[in-house]
Amino acid sequence: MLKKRRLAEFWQIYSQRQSAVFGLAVVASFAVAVILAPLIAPYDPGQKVGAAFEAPSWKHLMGTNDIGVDVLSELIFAGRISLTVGIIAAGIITLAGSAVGIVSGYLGGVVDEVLMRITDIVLTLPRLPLMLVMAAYLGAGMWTIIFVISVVGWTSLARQVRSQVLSVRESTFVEAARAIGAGNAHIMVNSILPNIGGIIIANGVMEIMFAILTEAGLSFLGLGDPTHKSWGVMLYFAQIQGAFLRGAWWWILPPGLCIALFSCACNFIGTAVNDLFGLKLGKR
Amino acid sequence: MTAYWLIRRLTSSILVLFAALVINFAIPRLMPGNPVDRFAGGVKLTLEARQALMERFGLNAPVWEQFWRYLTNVLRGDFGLSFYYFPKPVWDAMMEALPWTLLILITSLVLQVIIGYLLGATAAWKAGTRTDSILQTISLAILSAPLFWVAMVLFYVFSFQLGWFPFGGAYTAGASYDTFADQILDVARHAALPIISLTIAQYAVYQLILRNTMVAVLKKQYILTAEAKGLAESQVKHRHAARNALLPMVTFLALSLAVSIGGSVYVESIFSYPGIGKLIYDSVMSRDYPLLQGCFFMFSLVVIVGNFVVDIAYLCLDPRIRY
Repeated sequence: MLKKRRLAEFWQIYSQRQSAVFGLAVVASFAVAVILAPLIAPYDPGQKVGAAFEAPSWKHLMGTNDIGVDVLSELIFAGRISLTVGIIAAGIITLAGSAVGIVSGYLGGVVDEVLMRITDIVLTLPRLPLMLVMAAYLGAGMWTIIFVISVVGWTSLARQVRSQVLSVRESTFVEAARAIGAGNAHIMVNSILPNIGGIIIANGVMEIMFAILTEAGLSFLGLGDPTHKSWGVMLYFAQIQGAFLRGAWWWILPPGLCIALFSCACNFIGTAVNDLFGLKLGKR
Repeated sequence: MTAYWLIRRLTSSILVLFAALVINFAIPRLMPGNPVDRFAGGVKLTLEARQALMERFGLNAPVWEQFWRYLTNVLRGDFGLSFYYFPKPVWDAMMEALPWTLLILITSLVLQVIIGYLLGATAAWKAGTRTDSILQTISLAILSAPLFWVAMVLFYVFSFQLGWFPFGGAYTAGASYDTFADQILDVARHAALPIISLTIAQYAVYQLILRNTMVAVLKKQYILTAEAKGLAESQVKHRHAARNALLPMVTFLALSLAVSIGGSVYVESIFSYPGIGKLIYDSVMSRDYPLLQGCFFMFSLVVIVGNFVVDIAYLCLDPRIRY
């Protein structure tokens, strides 16, 4: 009951923000489109349904690519892969980042020192080259991309969570929990985590943006799975097949715009959620 | 005090550099597959040939001995021979490429800061107005778009359709220049689009950071004082408000360098620009592991040196900080 009312209250403030509502609407429509992909897509993305490099027309709203596949259909199905990779990688990053941040911030001491040193190192090293080195050895593919994004991605979240934990750790309810003999693990999960949940959710949404942009980039560099095309893999093929040199802008603009729109939407949602929780923390 | 800070700072730089070396050393040994087979590139090896190669590369020695040899080799600038450009040493390939990357990286960093400063100061000065929200929206849109895609579109419009810029390379091959100015112009024309792409990708962050800090500064009493004294608008804006909002921008320089290095990989491969970014792309494509690792190390070195320089700059800029 209480939860329900808080949710309603949350939504009331959230819905006053145009950008936040816009972000949610975009994410929702993308989600519906990729889930219902087989129903929405006009053609089978695995089939040659027209001539090569056909310009957009009523028959093919976004034209066709170099092998005569309908670009719109390919785009919708590619969204499935991009969103899946983005959400899985962001999920791993959020879990790992929060775990490191909470343990490091709560326990302090040597554990904190070691974990933060590692965080600093990963944060300092150039991300893309580091991902490329790992991916080159693992071989191209979806899971390789998820793995390398996760390995380099958790650091900034860990830092932010840690700094939040440092302030929550000093509050009286944590002291109370310790006084009645609660163990460290119990306090971290039951006292600390619920109080920084908002920050974690907000950052988790932003990590989807990071993961989707990074996935696109790595796939564009040829590390994606050519049999499971994401938006980035589409752009990779467009580039190596010389789409622009053939004037086929309709093959290159849509995937890029989808990536931009979706990551922009995630950014709007994340910022709004972050501000809302910041507001609440400030009020106390 | 400062000397103590400098030593601590240097120690942590060296630690990160050491970590980069450990990663470089460990990854090929941790990842699936045998290095000898990777060297052979798909050719089936006999047991004797494999043994001979393992011996030749020193892979039969204990791990710590291998690491020591690796470390001393790197310190001598010996990163082995490139597979792809065999038998060219990795070091030579990197040294040919490094100046080009530094050219576009540094130019772009300077432009990012200047453009970000000007737009950010304008947005903060007009906070809450239409100008402010337009500037904010544009920068958010740019930050959401993948850099490599922006670069592709720029290539299509300005090189392919309009023909204003060349299709690739760092200078016109085989050209003879009448004057030195002609040569500079030719190099600039080739570097223009890579620099513009990198700048577009990052300037917006500086703008957002400066705007947010400066909006807070503008509420301070001394701004009111400055205005009351009758100072010109530009004086208040640049000397009193923006100047006190600069530090977060400087902090971001280090991070931006790392991001721009990633950007250079995309930009250089799209515009066929012969820098380290293109080299790393080619080495991924051709699975040229020694070259790939050399480039990773070189980029790490650039970032570490860059971070160090930024920290020193920070120390000089903020008189309140004394380490």
